Amino acid sequence: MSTHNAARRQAQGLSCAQPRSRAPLLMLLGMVLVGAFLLDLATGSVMIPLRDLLAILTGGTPLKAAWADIILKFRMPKALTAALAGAALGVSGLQMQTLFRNPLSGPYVLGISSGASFGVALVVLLVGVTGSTWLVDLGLAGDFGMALAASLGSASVLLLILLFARKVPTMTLLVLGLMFGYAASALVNVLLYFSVAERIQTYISWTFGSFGGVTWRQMWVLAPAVIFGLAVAFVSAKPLNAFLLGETYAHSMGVPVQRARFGIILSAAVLAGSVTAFCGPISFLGVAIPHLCRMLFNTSDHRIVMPAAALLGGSLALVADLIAQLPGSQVVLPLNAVTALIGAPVVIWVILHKQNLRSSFAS
Amino acid sequence: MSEHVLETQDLSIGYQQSKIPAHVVAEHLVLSLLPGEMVCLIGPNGAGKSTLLRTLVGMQQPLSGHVFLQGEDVHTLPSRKLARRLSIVLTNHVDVGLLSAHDLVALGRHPYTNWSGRLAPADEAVICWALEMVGAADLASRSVSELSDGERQKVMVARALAQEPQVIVLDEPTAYLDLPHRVELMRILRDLVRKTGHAVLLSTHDLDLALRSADKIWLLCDQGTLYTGGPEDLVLNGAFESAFNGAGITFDRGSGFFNIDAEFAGEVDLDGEGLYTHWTKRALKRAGYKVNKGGRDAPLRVDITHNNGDTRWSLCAKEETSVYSSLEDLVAALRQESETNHG
Repeated sequence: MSTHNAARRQAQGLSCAQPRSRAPLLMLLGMVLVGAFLLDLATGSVMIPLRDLLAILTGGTPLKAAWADIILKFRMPKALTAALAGAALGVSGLQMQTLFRNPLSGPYVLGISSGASFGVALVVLLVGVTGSTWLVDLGLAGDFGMALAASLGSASVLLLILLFARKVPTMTLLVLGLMFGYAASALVNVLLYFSVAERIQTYISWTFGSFGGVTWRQMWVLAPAVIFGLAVAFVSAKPLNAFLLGETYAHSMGVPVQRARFGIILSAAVLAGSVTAFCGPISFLGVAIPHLCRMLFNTSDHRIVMPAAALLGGSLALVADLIAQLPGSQVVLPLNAVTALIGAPVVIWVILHKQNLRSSFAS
Repeated sequence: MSEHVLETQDLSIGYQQSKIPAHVVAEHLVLSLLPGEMVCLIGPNGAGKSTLLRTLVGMQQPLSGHVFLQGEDVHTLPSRKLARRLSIVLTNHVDVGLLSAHDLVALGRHPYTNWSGRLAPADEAVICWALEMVGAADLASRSVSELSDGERQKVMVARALAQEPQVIVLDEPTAYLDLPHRVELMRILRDLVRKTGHAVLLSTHDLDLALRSADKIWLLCDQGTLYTGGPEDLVLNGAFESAFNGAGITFDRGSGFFNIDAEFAGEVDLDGEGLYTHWTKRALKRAGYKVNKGGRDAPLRVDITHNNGDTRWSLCAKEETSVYSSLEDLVAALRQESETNHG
């Protein structure tokens, strides 16, 4: 032991490549997020000049009094939702990709969104079958009812997954999530089959995804859930780094594998579940953002990639929302169409350009 | 320092499944590792080397008995504490994603860093020291995915070293390496135990290298018998022969090599000394011939002649003599000869 410490002390003088600091790039991403946030507030069917926007945000009076209402009552909760949802999807997608060692994993691999879809389908489509009586009376057919149904749906899948998470190997869990997803989709199909056209329309528009449905009242549920999920996720950055070497090495490095995995799945599921409950199943962002972050920072170190995924995820969700509004027009495109249409070419370009996807997930 | 850093107490290893009686791999093992000692675990495939290693590092429960690491049972020691005393290097090639060699070695600091995994200057110093010890300091900023198998394995050893353990256990670390890199890795590990006082235990299939570099050999045989001792002692007392002699292979105590038992094709007379005679003998044995020294009137006879730097092999068979310019041609001719004779 003494010889080995001496050797180590000798090594203090050695120079050794220090990792170059990624802090400036992270700060830049932070500024991009703020910029996208302000831009999303300013644009929409009515364009509001930046000067007036800042006046509203700082408690001053804008040129037109109605603008204050537009910003504070509608655009602010929408922009906040977009930022939170993007961050949540990016981070949970990153967690799933590392945990399952699979580049195609995303926030929904555990069947969370399928559970939410089933909940929503149950409410929306059953209203059609039962002749829109008691559910409407209870106020359960509105937006909030759909959010509640989606929450219950994703929460039940989440509980099932967590129940199994401690008992079965990681890869089995992946297959279980897939099976839950198929089962839920099958049930949704049965409900769709027996439903009427206008109800189906309502269900379909929920599956398009939207950041606009969240009111300030609902924000009190969404924001704490996402913040809780992000907090647990950030604590999981260290064990996730160990998982890069596989569970055997992680265990040998003192990582409590079972507990760490439980924390990772819990946070990823809360993040994905709460976003799906309030915004619908938003595709693409959760799979693409982790890849973009790893390529941007050229590392798999979660202590860097995870904050990056939160910042970039928020920014991209805001940009997607901004584009979906078609600024200056009254038309609103489906959010999922925008994320995939704009996002897919970007990701394809980055993958072909950087060619380091193979290094992140070599076979 | 005679204190054992790792020792077993009446250890039985194997697999226990409910309902099925336990499959015992080996019983009543009494093993120990000293600081500054490099031990090679060898044995035929399926003898249970991996089971033994997994049990020793606490990844698999023993059927009975205990493994003590500095006096504490590895199977009850909290994993973070265990990680500060024992680290591992596995056979399989892990894809770690986009990490530099430095980042990979930094993962070894896990049991020492706080919840966020932030590396203190002291941690950085250990990382540099670990890379330096395996001669991989110049690889620090390279991406792990760009490293060759040999370089990568050195970095994996550095990672194990960064855990500052007392014991490093390596499961077939040389499996995917070519001969020069295998030799280099063994040399690195030997230097390591000498300089740092670590105890190193590694399993390997490379008997020759194990015989040349280990301080001690653990030889695990098929029936769960375990011989321990100095490499040369195990050769002299016949342990190697009994462990590995089997179908088509015999261990030659004299040379320390394995001989491949060839089918008996005939006898050849061969005279002479030196390099050419030695390798000619090897070629003839490879072709399945018994080589007689000094004219015992075998049906075949080989003579080697050197002329102006050219070497010729002449083969006399039934008063016919043919001359060949390479051993390859000689062996081919012998093959033809035996085929016409036997069938």
